[in-house]
Amino acid sequence: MENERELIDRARLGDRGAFDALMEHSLPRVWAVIWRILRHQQDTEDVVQEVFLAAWRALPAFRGESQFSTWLYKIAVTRAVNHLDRVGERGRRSALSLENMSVGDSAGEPRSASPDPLQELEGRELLRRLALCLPRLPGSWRAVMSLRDGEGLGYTAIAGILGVPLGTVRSRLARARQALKECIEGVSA
Amino acid sequence: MSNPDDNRIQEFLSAYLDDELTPEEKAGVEGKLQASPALVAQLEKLRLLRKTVAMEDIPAPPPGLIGQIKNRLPAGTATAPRLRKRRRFNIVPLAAAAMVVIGVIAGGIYLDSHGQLGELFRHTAVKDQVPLPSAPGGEEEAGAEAAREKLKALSYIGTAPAPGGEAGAPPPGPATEPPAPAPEPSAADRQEAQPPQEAGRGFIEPQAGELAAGAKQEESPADSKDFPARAALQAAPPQPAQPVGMRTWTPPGTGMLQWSVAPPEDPALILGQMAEEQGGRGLLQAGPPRAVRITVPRESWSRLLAALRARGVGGTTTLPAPPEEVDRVTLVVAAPSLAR
Repeated sequence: MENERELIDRARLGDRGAFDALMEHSLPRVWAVIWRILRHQQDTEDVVQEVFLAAWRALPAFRGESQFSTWLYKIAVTRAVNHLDRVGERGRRSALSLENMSVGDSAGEPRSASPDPLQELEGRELLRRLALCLPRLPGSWRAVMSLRDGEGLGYTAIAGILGVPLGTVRSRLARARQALKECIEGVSA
Repeated sequence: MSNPDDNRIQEFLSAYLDDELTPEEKAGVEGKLQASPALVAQLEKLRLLRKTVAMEDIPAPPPGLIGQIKNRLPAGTATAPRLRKRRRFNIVPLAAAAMVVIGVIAGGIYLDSHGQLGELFRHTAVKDQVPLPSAPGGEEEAGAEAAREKLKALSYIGTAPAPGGEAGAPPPGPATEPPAPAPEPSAADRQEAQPPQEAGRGFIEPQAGELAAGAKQEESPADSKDFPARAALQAAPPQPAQPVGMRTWTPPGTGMLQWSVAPPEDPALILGQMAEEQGGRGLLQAGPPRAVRITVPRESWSRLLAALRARGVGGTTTLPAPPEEVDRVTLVVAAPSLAR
């Protein structure tokens, strides 16, 4: 890719070619962030399209105070979480109300008899359970996990993207991980 | 119930794993880990979990996705963000300008009726050292004719704009009579957030082009009363046919939609995004109440309603469907948390 700053400047002036180049470069990461939140192929396609359309419209207002990728993540996460809100009924039907689940509470899931089930799981089985449990997390928790564990972003960057205090990122991530761990341990093989 | 201490320990462990603790916090956690094998086991579980989440297979984006997005992107230049504060006009300079125009018209009519216009122009020309063109039949008559044309053109600038803002343009052809000065705009003229409504049906706002071209109108007496500028507009001389403009419909109950949204969410941005997603726009309106006016194409109406309902905006369930003949729909959402 050409120099990103130059492409952004050209795209801000309406250069579609420059925007296309930025889009092609950013697509894989935007896709991954949104997929980890939505975990649904068609919904991810729809939201990714919305994100780039919104980015094109909002680009003249992008002042370069943050990285372009951070700015794009912000649009992506906001749209993805809003999308989850819109299809909330579908999500609620499968969710376990983990939002209110406290650490140490298995929320009614049957616990495995093993004293340390998580570490005993084979990699493939662990991934299977992960795929079952992640959709049960609230969207805001999935968002923070997607940005941290998927994209490897730091807490400060995540706080900027989500527009929340640093402490909220920390607590949200801890709650998400704990809830996920307990869910995985509780899912029957 | 969870133990707050347990929650706090989990937070520190999670942040320790991500190397996001201050040196003091990190030293504290390491001290606890040395003293507690159970805590070390918890940390290892979290580490395994994080690694598993990171290595999860993500399906690749479909190959045609980029092409689909490119097809949906509008051709040409990106536009500036649409959500912006509406500029508030100061009525004093506008009123002063209107008075000047009225004075010029009245003075012109008086001078014209007393045959003094040519005289006035001649004196002006002498003063400015610019010779008046002499014409057979008398230079005074030529000057008076030019002044009359000028006054007729000027008189249209004094016409109060009708809703839609297109009434102030002077007509290309000569006029026979300057229109009567428009009455003082009513409160409804100045406050776009509360347009008048036909009882139970909503309000359809025609464009100036429709009125001037004699297009089909659905105007009630109440409309004329609330938009007095229309009377002046209709009294204006016929204009050449113009493309019929967009017709905007305001449902009954506009201004009653209420949305309570908790900070840090910004209702203006969210509503603006909603409008843009439906191909429309949102405008922040001065209060009270502070509100966002959303205008979308008619075909996006149901989707906009669904989006508003999904966000918990009140009053959306009783709104009727827009009439077939309108092009756009506009409504106002008041949100108490809108920044002042």
